[in-house]
Amino acid sequence: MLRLIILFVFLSCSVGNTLVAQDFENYTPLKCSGAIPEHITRLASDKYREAKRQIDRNQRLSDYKAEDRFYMESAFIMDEFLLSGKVIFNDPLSKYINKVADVLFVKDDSLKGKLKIYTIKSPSVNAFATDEGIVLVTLGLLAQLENEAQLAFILAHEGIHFKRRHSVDIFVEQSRIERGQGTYGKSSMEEKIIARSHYSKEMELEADKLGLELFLESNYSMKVLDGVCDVLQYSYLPFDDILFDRSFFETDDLIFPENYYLEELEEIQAEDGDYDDSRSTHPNIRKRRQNMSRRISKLDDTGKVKYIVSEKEFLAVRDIARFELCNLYLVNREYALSIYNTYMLLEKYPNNRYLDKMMVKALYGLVKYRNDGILGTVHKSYKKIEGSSQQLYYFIKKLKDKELNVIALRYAWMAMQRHPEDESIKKHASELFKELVFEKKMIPTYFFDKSKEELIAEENIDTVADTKESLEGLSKYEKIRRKKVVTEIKGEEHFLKYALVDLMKDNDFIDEFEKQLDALEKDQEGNSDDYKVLKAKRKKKRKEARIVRRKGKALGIDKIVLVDPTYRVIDQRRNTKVSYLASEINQAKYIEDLGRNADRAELQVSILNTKKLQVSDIGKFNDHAILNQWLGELLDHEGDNMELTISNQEHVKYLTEKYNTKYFAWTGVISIRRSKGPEAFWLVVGGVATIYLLPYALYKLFTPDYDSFFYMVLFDIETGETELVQQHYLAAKEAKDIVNSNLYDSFHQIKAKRKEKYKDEEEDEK
Amino acid sequence: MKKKMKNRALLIFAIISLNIVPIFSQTPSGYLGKRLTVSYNIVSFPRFYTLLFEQELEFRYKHHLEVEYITQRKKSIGVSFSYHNFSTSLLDYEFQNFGTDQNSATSSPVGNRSTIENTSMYFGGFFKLFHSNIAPLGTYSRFGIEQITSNVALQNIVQSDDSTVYIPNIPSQDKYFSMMVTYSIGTQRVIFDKLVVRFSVKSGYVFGGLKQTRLGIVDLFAEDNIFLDAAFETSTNKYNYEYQVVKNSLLNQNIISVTLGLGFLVY
Repeated sequence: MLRLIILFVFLSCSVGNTLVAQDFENYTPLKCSGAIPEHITRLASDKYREAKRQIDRNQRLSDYKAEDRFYMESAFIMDEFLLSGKVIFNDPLSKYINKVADVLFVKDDSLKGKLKIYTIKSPSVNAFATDEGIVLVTLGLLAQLENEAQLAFILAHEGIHFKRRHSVDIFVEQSRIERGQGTYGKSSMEEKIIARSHYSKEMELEADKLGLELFLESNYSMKVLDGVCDVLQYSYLPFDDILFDRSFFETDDLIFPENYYLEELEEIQAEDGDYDDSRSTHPNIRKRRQNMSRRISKLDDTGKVKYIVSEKEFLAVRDIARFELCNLYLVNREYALSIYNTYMLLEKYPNNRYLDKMMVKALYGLVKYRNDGILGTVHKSYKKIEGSSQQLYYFIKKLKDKELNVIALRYAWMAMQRHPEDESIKKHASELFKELVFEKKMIPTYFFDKSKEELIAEENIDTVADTKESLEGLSKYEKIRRKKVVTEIKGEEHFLKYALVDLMKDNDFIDEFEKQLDALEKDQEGNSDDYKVLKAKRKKKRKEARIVRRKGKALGIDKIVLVDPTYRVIDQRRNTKVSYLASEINQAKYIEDLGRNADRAELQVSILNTKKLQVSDIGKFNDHAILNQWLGELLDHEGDNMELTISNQEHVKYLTEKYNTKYFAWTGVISIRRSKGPEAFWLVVGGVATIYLLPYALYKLFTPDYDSFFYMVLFDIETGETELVQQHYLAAKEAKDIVNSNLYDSFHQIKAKRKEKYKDEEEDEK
Repeated sequence: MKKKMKNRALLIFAIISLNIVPIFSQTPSGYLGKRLTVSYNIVSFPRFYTLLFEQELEFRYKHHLEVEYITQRKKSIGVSFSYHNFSTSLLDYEFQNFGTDQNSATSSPVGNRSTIENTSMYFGGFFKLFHSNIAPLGTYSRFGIEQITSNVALQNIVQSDDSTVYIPNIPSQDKYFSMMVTYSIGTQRVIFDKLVVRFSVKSGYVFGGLKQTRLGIVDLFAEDNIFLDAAFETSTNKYNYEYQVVKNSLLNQNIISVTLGLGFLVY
């Protein structure tokens, strides 16, 4: 019996620990696991219809319609968000938050077990609740919290939002304000905005008040509440405020000039949160802080604790959130912030592979944008930054192109030495080498392979270099050379020459440098400036463009994966611009058409359709999530005409094997019914005036105006290259034949193989 | 004659061939992979010539068959055949100059009417350029060249004073060859994934080309054509008058027309 008890206790502990047992040394990004919650797999239209039954039919018709619109929008927008891959479930963080919620709501039957709590992959500091009882907590918030009790208060606050149906009430009230119903009838636009804000703030204060009562019923310490307000007040700052140490990128030989560091940092604004909130949806922090402290001032906190579930688990969860933030900032191209977060975590987890990788990727991002001369698009001015991270922003700004390239390569190479098994670090190191050689044209001889002391001793500089006697007996040219050597060795402006002293003794490093130089030489041969060569190239390029224009592409691909095909019906005349129900129905038909066209084009197509997921399709769910993140980042880079390795490139690699193809496509149709603009009115006026134009004017007036748009974009997810972009705009309603025609044409171009004659030309071109 | 005919056939073939070549390099997508369309069109055109007599505009119809094959994403080629039978009223003219029946000619100097019965067959080739959509959908421009073979018969209808009508004689039939270049702008849509619906406006210009007479083949458009010169100088030359009427009729019929068509996507 005792054995059984020991075994049971052991198993319980093991199970408990596995929930947060994160191996930070081999950290991998968070993803969903287990079964997909049933409500996520249901169609949004079903959820809407179910929610609609709750609407009170005895209320005013306009309120009924507003509530109906709310349930419609809420069901579809939330559905899209839940399936976007940004929301994670059955992960250690969500599990932990749920445990805290179970403790907190144990005495409240209306909330106990009613909430569905998930984590969102977002760096913002936020949490929110929906009418369905979905509570979403951001990674940014988890990363900033100080203890479990703070999390409990936030959950209590969100629980009240759900319990009191605040989201529905706010929506209906806003509709009344927009319509000018009742007392809002004579309100100006300004007054309406303030009224909207006021109502929303009322709901927030109610959630604070009732949430606090709920919180006080638990055994969590109320001393943490002031800290919750601090978390909200300083949410714009990183999760900690640690001075960026200049030695981080320095070595014994590489010392940056003093002016690369700020002497004084911008103080963190010490406002007490008493800002003007008249147009905000939330009351200002000072009011909230005061309300809470008034309520708890006379209460006894004896016996109350900061942790009920587990302090260890909370700290692990918080660290996971912080690890995730490094990656999220990378995806959002906030490279300096990623470096700063990583830097702070490296203090606790030195030489951590994941963190090293984050650092390498962030430096790589900075290098690419800096080399293209558009660093400003991804790097904030240090003047806008408060606190210790400002030092890093300033340092990055001060670094010159070559310096940034060199320190990035140096860090990547060292990281590669520390984690030789990591392919991603290796790839980034290689890319950074290429940048250094190809973009910055740096060669090994630029760098010293000896320390300053060694060089000074070798050249005998310190004692005699600057004296007149030392130059006696030297020829004019020897004197020039001598002066140059002395300047290079001693001059502070040549500090970069010492950046790779240790690495210049590493044969592997030298070999890689030589390899890149050879590649550059070959590339330059191929890119000869010779007029005839350039002319021939241009001619070939024109010919290729002509062939593609005439015939389309012929990619010769046998299989592709279509990621979540979309169909969006928009009616600009309505308050709810998106016709959600029509969109859902049309999407199902569109997916049928995709299958039919693929069959006819004899192209193998797998469709990753999130609208048809079963609870067991967790693999597909995660695949979709990772692809969405990959695409989002890729499009951000492409928006700035940048080509660089996507930060989660290594995590999409498995998809090639899983789906047996490296080609993934996104496709969709957007159909817009336009509202009649003032031109319709003027057309009728013109028609009446001239009479002859009247029939045409009336025709234009009474026939609806449509725009429709079809698109398909095919990517090679191994290289990130865009293989095919098909788009078709039509100033008319989308029609089945046009959609089919474009679909088949896209598939045909993907499947078709160019005849040898043209293929040879294309290969020559490449 | 044979050589000219051969040249003309070669010209049509050349236009088609220019667009056929790509067929053998890469198959275009077509509509769901279907590239061949056979269609029937009805062509309606105003008959301006009747304005001269009837003081009102008359519309006539022509039957038109077309086979179209998509050769590139936005191009197609095809052949067409159409048939049209019409009669043209001629102005009163000095019948007795040509008449064989002297009695009838003298009996009614003011009531004579003549008609030309014309049976024209159009055979040609075309290619289409689709503007924004992928063939065979959307708006397109169509360029074509057609050979027109007209079998013409002149009928003299003599109306006597007592309103009795009789046909004094039917001259032997003449055959005319003409060439026409056409340009159409239209739109096509596909319904039920099989049927092509078409609407277009077409404009054509007819060159007189060759005329075959009893005397043989005479190129009426040759600048040094003595026969032609003579025709204009002598308004009573039957053959030249008939030729002008046929030519003008063809010009008028083809200058502008509207086409409604229904096709079938074969494969």
